[in-house]
Amino acid sequence: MTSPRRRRLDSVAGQVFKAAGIVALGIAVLFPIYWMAVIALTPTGFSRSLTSLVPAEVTLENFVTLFTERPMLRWLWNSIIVAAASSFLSLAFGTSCGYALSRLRFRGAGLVLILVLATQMMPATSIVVPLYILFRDFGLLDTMQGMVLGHVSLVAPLAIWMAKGFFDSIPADLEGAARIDGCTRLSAYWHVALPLAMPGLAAIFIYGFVTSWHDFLFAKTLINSQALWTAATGISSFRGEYFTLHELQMAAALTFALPVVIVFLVMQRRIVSGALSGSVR
Amino acid sequence: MADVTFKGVEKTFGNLKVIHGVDIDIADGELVVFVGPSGCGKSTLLRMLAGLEENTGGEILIGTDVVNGLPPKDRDIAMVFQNYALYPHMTVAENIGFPLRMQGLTAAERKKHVVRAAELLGLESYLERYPRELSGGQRQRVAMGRAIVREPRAFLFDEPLSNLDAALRVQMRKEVKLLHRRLEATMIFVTHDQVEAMTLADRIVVLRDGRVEQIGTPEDVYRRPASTFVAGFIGSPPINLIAGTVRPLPGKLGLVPDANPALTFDLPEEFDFSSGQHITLGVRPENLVLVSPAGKQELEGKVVFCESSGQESAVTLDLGGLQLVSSIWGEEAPLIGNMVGVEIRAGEVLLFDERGIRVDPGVAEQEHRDFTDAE
Repeated sequence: MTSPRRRRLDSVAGQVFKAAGIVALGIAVLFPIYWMAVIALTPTGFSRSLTSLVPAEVTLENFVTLFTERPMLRWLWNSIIVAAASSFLSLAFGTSCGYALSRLRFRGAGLVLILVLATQMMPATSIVVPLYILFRDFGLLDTMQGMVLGHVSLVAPLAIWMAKGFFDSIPADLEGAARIDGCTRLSAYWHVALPLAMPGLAAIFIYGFVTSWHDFLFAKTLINSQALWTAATGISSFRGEYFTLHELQMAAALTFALPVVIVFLVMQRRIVSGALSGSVR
Repeated sequence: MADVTFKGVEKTFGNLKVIHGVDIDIADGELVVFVGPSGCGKSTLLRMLAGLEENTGGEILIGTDVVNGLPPKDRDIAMVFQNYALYPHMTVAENIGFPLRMQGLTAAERKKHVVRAAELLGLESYLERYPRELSGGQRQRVAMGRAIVREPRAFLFDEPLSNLDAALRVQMRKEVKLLHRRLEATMIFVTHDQVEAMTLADRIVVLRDGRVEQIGTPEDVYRRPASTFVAGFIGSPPINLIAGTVRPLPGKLGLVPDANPALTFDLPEEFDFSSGQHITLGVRPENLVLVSPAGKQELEGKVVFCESSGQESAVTLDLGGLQLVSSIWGEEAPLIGNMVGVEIRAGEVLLFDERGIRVDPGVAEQEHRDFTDAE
């Protein structure tokens, strides 16, 4: 038998361990971001000579250069257009397919779901070449539409699965009640299923946005014109064969991360659990 | 309000036939309860009437309109679901007002109706709350409010009380009954609880395996059950069903139970059975009287189990392998292990032929012949 005093000591030690673990994890995760910020705030060409964890001289000139001498704004705008369009399209596609797969009983529904999932098992690198050939034949190479389509193909399968899961969790009786209360199937979907699936739809949107925003492979392969580059391609352009503009690249990377953080913060409130509680027992 | 008619209604899921030609006529303003064990098709019948499932055969009429193939919204019915099915993202007022919103009523008109419905159900102070902030009973009331806010041709209730605790169930049962009296509306109520069926119904429809077993008033199905199934399903504690063979006794016929051939039950003389026929004798527990201590009467049993609910006790007796239940009121139950005498109240037996169909005095053979001819 352990004494109460011993147990209390154990629990204090446990708390200390836990706190130390959390701090260590936090440092491991946040330090690279901090170091990005440090390099981005160091004058161009001086990051290699940094000697301490805290920069001696802080400047915003890299950010200014980025927006005045480089088309960063253009790249960001392209990224926003592509990410927003592909996540909206994936969302529309995912919710309609997911709803149908959740609510309609038809032969082969299971097979459809497995085939949809199978497309996700293919690594993007293995589909980029066939996609390139397809896009060339359809005249979609080096166009924004082409890139959006490419990204939809990346996001839609998981969007369908996620949407099906969310609709599965909404009791069918709710729509039954709505249909008795005067709704058609479509308006029951609109008035009842869709609002209830909102947290799920927000999650799908974020997933689609982030996937498209972060994509480098498709952006680099399917687009040539600098005017159509997304920010991901833009950032990579700071890396030359013989030297890399680290400070500018880090400033661009920080700027690049910002919109995703904003989208997440805005949508986060939508992703709340318990929205369904109380409807049915 | 309108009457509701099921004409030869059938339902098949894939290769599985679950409803086998059901005929039910429900009069305008009647409260009819569909009762039966799980899987008997009672909810499916209701959902077909609502339009949530399509009937694969026969016709369903609301008033004079055949509603086969009509979407639920065009059938002008209201339904209360077992799991309430309240819209979680809407307040109580929005939930109740939803059918009116779909009808295109303005916010002001809706409010008037919603408040009236809420007053009827005692929900006035909850109108701005969300379903998740309500108790089970309040949620059920909101679901009822949503049904009564417009004036549908029929109200459908799909086991609406089965998620409530016992006390609340009794209270809500009363409210449904009062609501029916006040609205004088056609109501169809589905339940697996025979007590609910007995207390609520104007008429009961007993269903079994997708077929109507009997339609009648609560009194009918209790006193004159059509079959051993109905007799066993309605009544608590359940009826004693004694299967046995008819044997001649001096001057009359008797029943020798399969469970204990040493016993004999006298059969009423007015029944026309033949020796050797296999029949079932039914005795309601309240008609099985304990005569304690065991005396000169012919039957004697050992008390093996006793369940008391205060006023009433259900006493299980063992008569040499044949177990019978007797219910007694207001008396002290005999001790387990004691021997007691048993008497069947005169004239209070039900008799069923070998197919389990109840037979009336004097017509046993006749009815049997009719049935075989029809087949």
